[in-house]
Amino acid sequence: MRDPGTFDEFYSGSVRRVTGLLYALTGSRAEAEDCVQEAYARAWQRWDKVAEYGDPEAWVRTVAYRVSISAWRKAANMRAAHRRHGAPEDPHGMSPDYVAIIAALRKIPDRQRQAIVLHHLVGLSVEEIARETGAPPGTVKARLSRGRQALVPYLADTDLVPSAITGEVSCDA
Amino acid sequence: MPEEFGSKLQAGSAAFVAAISPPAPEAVRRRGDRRRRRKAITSALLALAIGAGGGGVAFTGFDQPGPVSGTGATSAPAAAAPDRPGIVAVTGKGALVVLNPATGEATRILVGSGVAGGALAVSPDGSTVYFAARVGCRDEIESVPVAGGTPTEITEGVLPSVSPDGTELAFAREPFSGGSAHQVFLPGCRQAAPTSSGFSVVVRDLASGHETVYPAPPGTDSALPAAISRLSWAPSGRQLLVSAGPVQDNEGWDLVVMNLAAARYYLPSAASAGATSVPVTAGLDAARSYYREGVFAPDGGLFVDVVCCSGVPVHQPSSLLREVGPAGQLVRQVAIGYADRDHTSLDADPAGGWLLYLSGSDLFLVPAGKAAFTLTSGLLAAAWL
Repeated sequence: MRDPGTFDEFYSGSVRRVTGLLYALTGSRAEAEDCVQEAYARAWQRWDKVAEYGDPEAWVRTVAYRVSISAWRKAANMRAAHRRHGAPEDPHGMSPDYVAIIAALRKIPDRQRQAIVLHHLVGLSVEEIARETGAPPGTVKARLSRGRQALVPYLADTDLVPSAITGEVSCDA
Repeated sequence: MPEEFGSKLQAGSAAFVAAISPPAPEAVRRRGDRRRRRKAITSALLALAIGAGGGGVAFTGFDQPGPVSGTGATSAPAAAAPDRPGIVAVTGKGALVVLNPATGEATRILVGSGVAGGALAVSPDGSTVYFAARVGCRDEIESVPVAGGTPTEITEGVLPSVSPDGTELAFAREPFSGGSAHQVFLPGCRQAAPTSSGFSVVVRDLASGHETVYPAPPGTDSALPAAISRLSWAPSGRQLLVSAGPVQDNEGWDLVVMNLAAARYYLPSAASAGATSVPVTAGLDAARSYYREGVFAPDGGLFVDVVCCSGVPVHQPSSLLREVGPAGQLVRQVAIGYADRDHTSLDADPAGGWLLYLSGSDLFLVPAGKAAFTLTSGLLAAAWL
């Protein structure tokens, strides 16, 4: 039996975090919001099961991400977003560093971006990312390492260049 | 990644989410209810279609948090179980277990925690499992008896593969002195930056401990590591199959046959013969496709995952599990993998009849000449006992 009360509580407590994650992954507010709402709708559709998972938010994150990488969905979302909002959103109001980071993230491969965002934004460990993405930990570590390498040229004009590739670094993340 | 990057990402995201106005939960529930009704109608229509003789693919539900693309595999168990004593596997929580090959249930825990994914190796007599474990800032290879017992450290490294006669162990060493290539991400670990020259394939005599090291060839030294993702011995014991990951920008994937007597490096090089790339020969996009992983089968053929396409931006429309000849010629297509997943832990049972692989964390078995099916889920690595 699906309990609207627990779903509403879960939704209200997590939807902003998940939307922030999807925005970092997609670089599009409209697409992020659409994918997140679709994921929560699917969660409600089977809430009797999802509610019993140890981490329903991870389930929603995974579904939202998979929705976002569907080419068909991307194209449809773009059309829908354009109808609703006109041209892609103006990043007015966001910090220059955040705009630069989002722009850089959009230029690296999907799975590296996913690993970087899950690690540095959501705060998941390598093992947790491995469980969430279904990739072996070694693959996750490689994606993190290569994602970091790939970001360097796109952040070259900022003070955010990952220094770990050029010298010693303490990584307590 | 420096703390500043993470903190600015988090601060920017916090400002972003503070400015958004998500719809009310009631609206999301209404959307879910509409999907539920559509699903019920679709399921009824699908049942009618199957009842009328159509559709051979198992219906597993449209809204599982599973892959978005299709596959030739099914989720129904095969009628016959493999004639093997078991499957060893690493669970998502890092335990090394023995699975019942007929049911997928864990029958024995060999190591309770700390086992890394990547690859497992089983001695030819089936008595010993070799695995990688993270100990502090090091990845080390250990062994444990299948019958149970205390793990024994062998050496520093990852991705073990034991020779057909059981006397030698091949494994990979990664670019950091004294530890894993990626330990910069481990709490408290402080290491120098990676260089590809630090990657090497090592063949170790298990009795004497003598090691033969095959580094990356000269000229590949850069800040961009050429990672090794899998090693597999040929049945002859004279060749090693090396699955190499991309150097940069999703380019540089390679599947290399190393002739151990002649090779000096684990990748092909003009400076030394003995390491040869296996070409991708079949398929419309063969030129852009690459081997994500490959292993030798007992008959000397290769069991591989062929993925299209390399390059950036990453566009991966297909991931095909195939049996190919040593020169890459297609023997048969084993299964159509999920395009959005990694397919790893490829393994052929020593009798050659069954195959297994992980699709993401799902364990698939493939009876000889038949369709693949899911045995169980939630794994990081698996191999036949």
